[in-house]
Amino acid sequence: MITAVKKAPVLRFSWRSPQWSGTLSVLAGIALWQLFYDGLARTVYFQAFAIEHFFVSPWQVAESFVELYQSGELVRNCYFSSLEFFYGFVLAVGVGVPFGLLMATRDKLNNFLDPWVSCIYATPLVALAPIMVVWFGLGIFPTSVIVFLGAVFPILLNTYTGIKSVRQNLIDVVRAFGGTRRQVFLKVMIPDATPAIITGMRLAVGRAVIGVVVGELFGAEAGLGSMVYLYSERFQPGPVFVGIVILVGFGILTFVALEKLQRWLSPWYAYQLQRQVQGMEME
Amino acid sequence: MTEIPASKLIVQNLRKSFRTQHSAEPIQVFDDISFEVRPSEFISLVGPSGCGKTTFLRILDGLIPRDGGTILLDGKAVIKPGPDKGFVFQDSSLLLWRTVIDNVILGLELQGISKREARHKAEQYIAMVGLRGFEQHYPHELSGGMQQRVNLARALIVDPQILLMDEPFASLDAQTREIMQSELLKMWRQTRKTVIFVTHQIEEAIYLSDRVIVFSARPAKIREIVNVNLGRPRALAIKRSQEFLALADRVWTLIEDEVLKSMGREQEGLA
Amino acid sequence: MSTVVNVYHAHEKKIDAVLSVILGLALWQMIDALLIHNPLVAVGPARIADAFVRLSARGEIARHVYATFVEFILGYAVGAAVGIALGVLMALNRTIKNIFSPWVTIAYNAPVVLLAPLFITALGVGIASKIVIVFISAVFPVLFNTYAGITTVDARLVEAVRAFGGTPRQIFLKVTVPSSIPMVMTGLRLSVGRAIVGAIVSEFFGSRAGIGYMISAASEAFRTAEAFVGVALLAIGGYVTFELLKYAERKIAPWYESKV
Repeated sequence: MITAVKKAPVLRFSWRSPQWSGTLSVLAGIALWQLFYDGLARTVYFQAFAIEHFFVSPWQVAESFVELYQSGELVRNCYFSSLEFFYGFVLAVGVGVPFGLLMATRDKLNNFLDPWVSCIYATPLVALAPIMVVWFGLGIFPTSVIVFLGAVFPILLNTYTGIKSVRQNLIDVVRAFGGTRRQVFLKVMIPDATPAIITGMRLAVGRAVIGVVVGELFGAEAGLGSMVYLYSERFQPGPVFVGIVILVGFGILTFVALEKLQRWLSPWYAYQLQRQVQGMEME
Repeated sequence: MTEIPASKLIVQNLRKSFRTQHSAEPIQVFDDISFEVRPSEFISLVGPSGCGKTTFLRILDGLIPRDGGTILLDGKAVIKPGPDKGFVFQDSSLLLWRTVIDNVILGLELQGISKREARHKAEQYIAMVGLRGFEQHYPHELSGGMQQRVNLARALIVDPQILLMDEPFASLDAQTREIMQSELLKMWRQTRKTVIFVTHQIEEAIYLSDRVIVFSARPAKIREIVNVNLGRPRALAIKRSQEFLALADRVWTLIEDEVLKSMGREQEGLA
Repeated sequence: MSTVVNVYHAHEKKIDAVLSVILGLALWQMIDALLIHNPLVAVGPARIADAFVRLSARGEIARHVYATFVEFILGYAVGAAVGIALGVLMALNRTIKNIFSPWVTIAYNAPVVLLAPLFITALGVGIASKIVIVFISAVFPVLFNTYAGITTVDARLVEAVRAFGGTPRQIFLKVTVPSSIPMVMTGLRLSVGRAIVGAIVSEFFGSRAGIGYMISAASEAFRTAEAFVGVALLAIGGYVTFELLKYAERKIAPWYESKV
C-alpha cells in the first residue's frame, strides 16, 4: 500500500478558520472600545481625571493617523525607525549567525566565549541605552547599536542550539560515506539548522523593536519611539496610540513574514516537529 | 579443483570499552570477538538487548574507533568509514530537505561525481527498490517502508563491498516489515552483496541469513554461530515450517540463557 | 606534569570559562588604562569597582536596588498570579479563549514598554506607574505559557486516568496540573526578563529612584563609570535570578529537561 501525505497549502481561507474568528474578535473589541470611550466621555469622571490626556477612542486614533500622515511626520518617523531597525537587525544576523556557527563547531571557542555570552544574555540590554548616547551621541547610530545588541543574542543562541541539535544519525550518514567535516557542515548541518536559525530571527524581532523605542527615547531626532515620547509629554495620546499600533503591526508582520520564509526554505520542518512530539524521531 | 574463496571480512580479537560519566570503571563492551564472513554471505547478529550489537556494527564500519584487534575487508585493514562499506541506519536518516533522488545520490555526490551523472545512475536503483515514479518526492511525503527503501538504494548505489544494516526494519509495523524482508532478499539475490544484519527479531534473522551469530550478554562474546540450512530462495511461508521453528527455538534458548545470566549479574550487583 | 593535563581535561569547560573571564577583565582594564584617555568613554573594571565603592558608601546602591526590587517583585508577583489564573481560565473555557486569544497574542508580541510614557503621565513618577508596567510586562508570557501548558497535556495520559475511572476533577488535579508545570515555569522565567526591562525602561521615562534611574541620571551627568555600576548590578541580578529559577524548576519538576 502506497500512502503519501498531501502538502498543506500555504494559504488557506475559510469562514470558520481561526484567522477569521480572530479578526472578528479584534474588530468586535475595537467596537467595544469605542462604545466604552463614548460612554466614559459623558460621565463626570472624564473631566475630573482629565482622561482625555491619556486615553483615546479608536476614532481619535484614526484621526490622529490621518493628521500625522498629512503633515508628513508619520512618514518621516517611520523612515527613521525603519533604518535603525534595519541596520541593527541586519548587523545582528551578520554577527549572530557566524558566531553561533563557530561556537557550535569549535568547542574551544565555545568554552571561552560562553561565560561572556551568558552574562550579557542575563542583562537587560536596554539598560545600556543611556550609555550608548553618551558614547555615540544622538541620531541613528546609537539606536542601531541598541537594536543590534538586543537582536544578536537570540539569533546567536538559536543558531548555536540549531547546530548542536542536528541529529547525530544524519551526520553519521555522511561520515559513513567517507564525507569530510566540511561536507558534513555544508550538506547536513546548515540545512538542518536553518529552521532554528530563522526561529532565532523571529525571536529577535520583538527585542529589536524594543531596542528601537528605547534607543530613540534617549537620543533621536526622529522616529516612532521619539514621536510616542514627545506626544506623551504633550498629553496627546492620539499620536501615541498611532505609534504603538504601527510598531506592533510592524512587529507582527515581520514575525509572520519570517515564518513564511521558514516554511518556504524548510517545508519538511513541520513534519519533523510532529514526529518528535510523537516520539518517533531519534535524537 | 574448487577454489575456496578468500574471506570477504575477517575480524580478529576485537575489543572495545566505553568510559561513561556514571561509572568509575570503563565498561567492557566486548572482549575478544573473532569470525570470518564469506563473499555474498548473509549474516545476522542477534543477542540480548544492550549487548553491543550496534556498537559492534559501527566499529566494523569505522564510525567508532576500536580498542584492539583487527578488521580486514578484502584483505585491507578497516580504519575509517568509506563508500566501500554501505551502512544502513535504523531510522531512515534521509535528508528531509532533499528529494528521493537527491538523497540516493548522496554517496556519489560526496565522492565528487557530478549530480547529473549520479542522478542518471540513481534511477535504476530507485527502480530496483520498487519506487519508480517517486524520484521527485520528499521524505516527509513517503511512508516508513518507502523511506527505508530509499535508504537501501542510497547504500547500494555506491557499490559497497559489504552492507552493514543496523535494525533497518525496527521502526516499521509488522506487516510492512515482513514485506520488506522478502524484498530485501530479492535485492540480495540480484546484487549478491555480503551483508551483516543486526536485529532483535529472531525470526527475521533466521529468515534472512545463511548464518546467525548469537552474542552473549555484556561483555559480549560470540556465544554460538548457528547455521541456517533452509535452502534458497525462501518464501515468507517458510517461517511456519518445522525446521524454521526448531532453529528459532534454538536461538531463542541461547538468548534467553544470556538474558537470565545478565539479570542475575545485575541482581548481584544490586545486592 | 601529566596530572595537570589530566585535571585540565576533566574540568576543561569550567577552567576555560574562568580563564576567559580573568583574561577578558584584564584585557579590558589594560585597554581602559592605557589607550583611553577620555573619562567619558573610560569604564575599565577598576573604575567601575571604584565607583561602586563610592556609591555604596553613600548608601546609593542600597536605595536604588531596593526601589527597583520592590517595583519588580510587586508587579511580577501580581502579574504571575493573574497570568496563571487567566491562563487556566482560557484553557478551560472555549468561549473565553476565542474572545481573548487574538488580543493575548498581540499583547504577548507587542513591546509593552511603549505604554510606559502613558502610564507615567497618568499615574505620576511614583512607584505605582512602574508596578503597573512591570505587571503588564510580566502577565502575558505567563498567561500564554500557562495556556499552552494546560492545552498540550498528553492526551494519552488523560485517557489512561479516565480509563481507571477518574473524574474530570481528578484528571485536572492529578494529570493536567503536574504536566503543565514545566511550561508554566518557562513562562515565569520569560516573564522575569520582560519584567526587569519594564521596570528599567519605566524608570528611564520618569522616576526618582531605581537602577534604571541611576543609569540614566549618571549618563546625563557624564559619569559613565557609575552608569556601568548600574548595568553590572542588573547583570548580577539577572544571573542570580536565572540560576534560582533553574534550581526551582529542577526541584519542582525534575522529570523535565528544559531545552533553554
